[in-house]
Amino acid sequence: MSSDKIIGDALKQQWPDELPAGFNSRLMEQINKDVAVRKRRQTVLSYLLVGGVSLLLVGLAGFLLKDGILLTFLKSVKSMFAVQVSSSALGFSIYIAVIVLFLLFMDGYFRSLREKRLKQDAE
Amino acid sequence: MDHQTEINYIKKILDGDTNLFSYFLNSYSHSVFTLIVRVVQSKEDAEELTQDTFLKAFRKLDTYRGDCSFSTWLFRIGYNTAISAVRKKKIVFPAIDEYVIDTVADEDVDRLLAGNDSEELLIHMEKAIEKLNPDEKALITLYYLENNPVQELAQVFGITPDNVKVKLHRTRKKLYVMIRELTKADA
Repeated sequence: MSSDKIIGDALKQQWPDELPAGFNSRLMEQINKDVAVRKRRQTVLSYLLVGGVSLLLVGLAGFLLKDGILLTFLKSVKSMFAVQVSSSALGFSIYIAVIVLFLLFMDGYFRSLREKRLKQDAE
Repeated sequence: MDHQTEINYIKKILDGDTNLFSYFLNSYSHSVFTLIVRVVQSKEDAEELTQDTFLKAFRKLDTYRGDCSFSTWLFRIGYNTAISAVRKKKIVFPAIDEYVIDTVADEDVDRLLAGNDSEELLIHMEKAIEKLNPDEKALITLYYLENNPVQELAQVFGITPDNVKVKLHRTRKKLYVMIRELTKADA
């Protein structure tokens, strides 16, 4: 079957095999754009996730504080384990805010570290 | 470049070195275009579908397991992309009675295809190839033009190597029947 030269010749004549000049470089540009869009989407998603979780935590804290549930809970924990826990509502809010800021900072730090490493690998 | 080096390239691309993908573009864009243009029979559509094939390949690069060569994997994506495009157009290809194909003797086909390279036969062959269905066009393109072995074709089309041989055999006979009809019409 492989000796059927006439089939190969007819296939060759049927269509031009040449892609337009610059096809590969244009496609590579598109791929790089695709990568950039994907990275941006991931960043936005991760910020949305962190923001959402933070809002949820703050909301939960507000809800618990409003009904005094948290204070009762903290008091009972304190009495049970004799652990020094701040019962101040302001203190608790600051505690949540610090954690959120710390997580955001760590996220940014590790992202920049990873990007630096990727750049170094590419060079 | 060998299979292992290509796998290393893919790992680097997945780790973020996307510019290495240009190696695969430069190596295979021509072959993928060759396959697609013969399946869809339009240069403009083929260019667009070749672009789609490489974008799909890039986006799904993490699913490449390395159990076949990268070109085989790429041809599979290109073939599926081209076939989907042809199906959307709902083109009807002429059917030939299976009985007519079965009654053709192998010796007659061999004699026609191996012993004759006249201009008339070449023109008839081109016309006959145009009438083949997209699966058959893809099969003969990869076999006769890209010189892919039967084993790789089996992976591209998702069938057994024996089935590939049977399909090639039937396609040759089909071409013979169509050329015979074209010759009769000319006479």
